[in-house]
Amino acid sequence: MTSLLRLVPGVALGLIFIAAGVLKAVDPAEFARQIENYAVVAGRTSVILAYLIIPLEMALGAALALGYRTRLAAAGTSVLLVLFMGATAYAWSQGKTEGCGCFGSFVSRTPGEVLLEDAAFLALGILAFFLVRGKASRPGLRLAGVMVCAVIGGVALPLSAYALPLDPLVTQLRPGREVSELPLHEAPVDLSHGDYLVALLDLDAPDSRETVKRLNAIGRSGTVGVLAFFGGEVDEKTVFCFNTSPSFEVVAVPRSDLKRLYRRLPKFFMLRGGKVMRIWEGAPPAPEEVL
Amino acid sequence: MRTVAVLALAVLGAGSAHAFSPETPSSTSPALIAFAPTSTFKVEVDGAEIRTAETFIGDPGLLVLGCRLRFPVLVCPADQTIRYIPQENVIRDDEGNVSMKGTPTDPISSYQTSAGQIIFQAEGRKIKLSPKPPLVGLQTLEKIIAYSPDYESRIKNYHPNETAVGYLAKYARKTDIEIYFGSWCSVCEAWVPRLVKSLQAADNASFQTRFLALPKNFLNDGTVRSKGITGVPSILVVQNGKEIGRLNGRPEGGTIEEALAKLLQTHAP
Repeated sequence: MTSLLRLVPGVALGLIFIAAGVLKAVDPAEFARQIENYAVVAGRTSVILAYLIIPLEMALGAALALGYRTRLAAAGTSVLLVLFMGATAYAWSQGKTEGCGCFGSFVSRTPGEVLLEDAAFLALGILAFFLVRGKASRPGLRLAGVMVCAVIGGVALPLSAYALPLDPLVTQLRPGREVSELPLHEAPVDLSHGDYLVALLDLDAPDSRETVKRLNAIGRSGTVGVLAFFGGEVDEKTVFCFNTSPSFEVVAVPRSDLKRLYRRLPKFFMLRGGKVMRIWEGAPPAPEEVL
Repeated sequence: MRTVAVLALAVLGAGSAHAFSPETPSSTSPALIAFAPTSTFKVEVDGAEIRTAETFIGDPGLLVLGCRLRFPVLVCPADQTIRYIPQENVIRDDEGNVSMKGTPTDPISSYQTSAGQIIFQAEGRKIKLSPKPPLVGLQTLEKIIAYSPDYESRIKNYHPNETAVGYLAKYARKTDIEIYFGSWCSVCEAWVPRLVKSLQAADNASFQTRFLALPKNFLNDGTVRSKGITGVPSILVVQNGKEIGRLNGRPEGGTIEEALAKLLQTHAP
């Protein structure tokens, strides 16, 4: 019994790391953005780092959960946590108050909460390191095989994430949902009545003009209302609107809210009577699809 | 022409219904194209803000006067180009509106957009048009609407909860409503107009409203910190000089007028 209890910290931390890795892997671009937001690295480095950290986390998590080279995995996990805490503290000191990307975009916390949480995980890592001394480190072939699978999964999942139909699983937007359940509280009109084509936009996307042109055509028909949301502050839309001439309202909402509705932008959905009827990604629907 | 000017201004601020098209001047006179003054952009030349520069918005784009170039420039979103307008073709009327006669020159350069700014080179200078800085300090509703016409349309289009408005209408205690907000803040742009409309609908002289606009880095401000404001909008409800409660951010379920009515009911029935 006692020996089983000794495994608990490692297994718990392992499962946490696997969950964290998988949640990041389904939206690696967002994780890269969150790394960049830490202002420690920028550009391509943050992308490379994102694609390295994900398999590393999943491999360490799998090793801890399965008891494969537990002390080594616990040491590696603890070092990783110390690095995460250092990056969080640095970003916080630079005035970056956005929460970490520890669990992808699914959990939002302040830097202070992140540090506390990481400290708790670090304690688990240290416990795991000392409690399994000389025991439960089972470098068997079968376990090694599972570890290899974890690493392959950690590499393959983020690389294929956007080709997989995971949006209904990992975002709040799916057909049949009521608009009242979506984080669109800043909508300037009552979306629970009537027909609306809602666009979620990236204002910096290079094809914005074409997107707006197509949305304008749908809006001009008068049969459905068109409304666009972007994640950011109000003044960010000034140049976008000047450049693209939308004939519909472009509404700023907090990015953390909007992020719960997409993995990639642009994204569009049809609301009828307050219910999500259909979703399109990448480009607006053809007018005949919504009219 | 004034109607065209006001519409153009409202449209740019609202971020909606633009119809810039150099080929389709909207002026009633085919020879004149109307531009309305807009303070939406600030103008920087070689990194220095040109406070005397003036910007005007019209169908063909953004007209910039006084940006230390040989001629006024027209920023044309239709083809993302910069064109000159000969000085003699820019006509100013008594109301401050500007019209353009004739056609602009061929493009002298093109512009790029980066980080929400319009950037172009002309005559060896780097010109940057950025969104105007946010409002800061004590504001009137009129000033807020002039800065952000979206507030006006949102006030107009909101239908407050009648029960809550009924309660607010009958509320008898003198109450100051201090609205700390950011003109840059998306949550404020949604919820402050709803509160304003509700108080307008209640039409109760017991309520005195003050609007205090905060900059983006307001957390560094000692006065703001001393009030315990950590986010916007923060709506402080004050009676006899003492805060009796506050509404932070968007209400947790329900409407903002219901939240205010509930707060008043709880603290000062």
